[in-house]
Amino acid sequence: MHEHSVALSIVETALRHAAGRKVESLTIEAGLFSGVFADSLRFYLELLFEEQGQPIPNFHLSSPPARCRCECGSEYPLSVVLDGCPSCGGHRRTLLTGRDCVLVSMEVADA
Amino acid sequence: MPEILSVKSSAMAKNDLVAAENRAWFRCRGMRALNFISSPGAGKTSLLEAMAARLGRKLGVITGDIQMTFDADRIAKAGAQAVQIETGGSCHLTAEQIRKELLARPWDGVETMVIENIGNLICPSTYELGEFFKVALLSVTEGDEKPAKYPALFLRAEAVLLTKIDLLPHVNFDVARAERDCLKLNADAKLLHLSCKTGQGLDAWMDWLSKRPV
Ligand SMILES: Nc1nc2c(ncn2[C@@H]2O[C@H](COP(=O)(O)OP(=O)(O)OP(=O)(O)O)[C@@H](O)[C@H]2O)c(=O)[nH]1
Ligand SMILES: [Mg+2]
Ligand SMILES: [Zn+2]
Repeated sequence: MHEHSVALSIVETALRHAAGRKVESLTIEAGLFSGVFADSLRFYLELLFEEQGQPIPNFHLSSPPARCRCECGSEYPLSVVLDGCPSCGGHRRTLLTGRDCVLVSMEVADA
Repeated sequence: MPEILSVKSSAMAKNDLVAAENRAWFRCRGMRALNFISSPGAGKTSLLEAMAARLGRKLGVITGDIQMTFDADRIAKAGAQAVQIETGGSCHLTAEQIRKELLARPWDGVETMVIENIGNLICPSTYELGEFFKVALLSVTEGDEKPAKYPALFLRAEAVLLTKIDLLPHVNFDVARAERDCLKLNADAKLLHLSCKTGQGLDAWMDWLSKRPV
């Protein structure tokens, strides 16, 4: 449900960067621990572009694994939230990525 | 040829900025600030009533609810300074809403500020409000698989309170499993058992809270 406000924030940022040019695509990463569901986000993104009277861009939405650093020193990608470190099995780790939902990049038409 | 723009902007960036302002506001006043997150009815207001009975006006509470209920009245009656935010349908509180409430009244004498978030295990987890830490409440009537199902919250919660522990004999809730999953998500989580009905665990909670460095 909060995907609505997440989408709002993304659309705002995208239109600001586009500065009047047509937005052709958005590349978005919803982190494993971002609490954002890609399908729901897509729904609101389409809705918001439509509401703004803008053509609907292509959305490249992905949910990449989170990057973790284990206390044993190994760095690894995590895609199943309860899994442990592949080297030592431990769970004491620092999350390097995976908390955020990020607008990574976008394509805009030539002015 | 379309032009590719690198943006790398978090959807939370704007909220996070205001949250940082709120955090500074708390720090200036030497207040500790907590964010209570749980599903509806897990016992947030009940715990705040019990805390109010001990802390009185040194406890401040900002409580969010989708519609007018009486959580703030209950907490004020128990002795704390409390105000209600009606979100009118939103599923989480935002830093901006908290900022308004912080500026709207003096909060004289408040040492601990608790934000009671909207009852919801997903949406509030990723909206920083300026709190120093999050507390997840999980009642034993909800099922022991909840930490695994809602990792965004249990990853971020510094303390997990298993509430309504008095009801444990009546439900199939595997405490060991729930706690094991909590620790897989946050190896340093403080786990406590609470009952607002019997008072079990309240001393331990208040003790942990008073000693937690801010
Ligand atoms: N048996 C038992 N019941 C409890 C306990 N704590 C709360 N309750 C009951 O659970 C119900 C919900 O409690 P609240 O404190 O209103 O829960 P809440 O999390 O504030 O609810 P929302 O704000 O609506 O999300 C009430 O009927 C309480 O009396 C407890 O420790 N044991
Ligand atoms: Mg309540
Ligand atoms: Zn390891």
